[in-house]
Amino acid sequence: MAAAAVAAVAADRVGLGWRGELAAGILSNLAQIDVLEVIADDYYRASRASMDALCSLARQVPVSLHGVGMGLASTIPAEPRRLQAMARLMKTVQAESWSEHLSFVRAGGVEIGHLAAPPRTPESVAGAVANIALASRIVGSAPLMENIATLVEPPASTMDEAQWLAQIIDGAQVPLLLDLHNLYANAVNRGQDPQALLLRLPLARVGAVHLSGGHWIDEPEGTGRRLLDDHLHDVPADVFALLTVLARHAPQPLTVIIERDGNYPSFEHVLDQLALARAALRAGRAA
Amino acid sequence: MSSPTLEAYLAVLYTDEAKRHAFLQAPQAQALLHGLSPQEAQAMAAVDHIGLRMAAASFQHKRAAHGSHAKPRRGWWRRLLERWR
Repeated sequence: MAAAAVAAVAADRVGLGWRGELAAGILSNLAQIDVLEVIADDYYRASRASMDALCSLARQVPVSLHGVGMGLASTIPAEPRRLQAMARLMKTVQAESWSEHLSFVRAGGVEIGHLAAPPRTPESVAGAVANIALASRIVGSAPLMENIATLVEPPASTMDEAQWLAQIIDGAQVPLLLDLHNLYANAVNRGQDPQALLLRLPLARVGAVHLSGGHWIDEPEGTGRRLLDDHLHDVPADVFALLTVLARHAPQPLTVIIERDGNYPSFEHVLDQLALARAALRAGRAA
Repeated sequence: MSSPTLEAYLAVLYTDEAKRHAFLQAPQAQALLHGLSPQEAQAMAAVDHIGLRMAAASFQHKRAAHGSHAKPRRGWWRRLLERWR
């Protein structure tokens, strides 16, 4: 193994998304968890006691804050009050980094309630770049920006997913938080090769990785099925294989976070998932 | 071809079942009715109808789940953390 690859292996980190349901297991196994990712929106209006607990956690293990409500990938300017909330939280927690999604979550006074893919166009690229710049100024540091899963190809798009992601990441000069299950789900739902899609992304700009699972759902007409990214299932073997490919092509250190939002298994099983992620990274670094 | 008006209409289609149904019956006409440009309306007419319905159902499920867990259950782990530190 080349010296650079050895150094990257030493710096790669594997951690978990913080969830209250996993707290006991996390706190009992911190030696096996390199980093935690905390949903920032859960703490914008948190009590003093909750903030103290989060700050205590951040003193014990590196913490990254993950936003879900800014809607930065939009032709509509981001709301400064949401960015200021992240700025306050970053300052209080002293988190090492923060991230958000390349999605829009509201428009015209309508809250969608989750992450939606905007039309992939030069205009939404420009809107995202401007919003990310505004967010970076207000928060005081640049976010990692995450690709999202979508069950519908965004209508009125003039660019494909890889082009759109690359143009935003390059234009905003921010690291990519590459969600490999989102990428996998989008590719298989379009009938594309996930690895081919991965290799079209700006892999040198990947700073962190999300891994999660999902399940297949039937189309309404019963003609086919699509993969839903639900964070309720184990990371599929195909997604671990994508992590190996990524580790082979991206020499920089990677921070890998496993996300689980429900249907919680035993914590031993969660630790097994972390071990599989480490093994996938090692396989890629060794190749 | 991407505008705040287009995003706003997409948000409506993802959240309002009646307007989504109307759109699926007559996509271009409904898009024009909601202020989209002729170009945008033509592009909207090509939307994947099944994907739109599945995405809307997924968002509905997320909203419902979020509503039922509006108060994150932090109390017990906070107490645990306080004992642990």
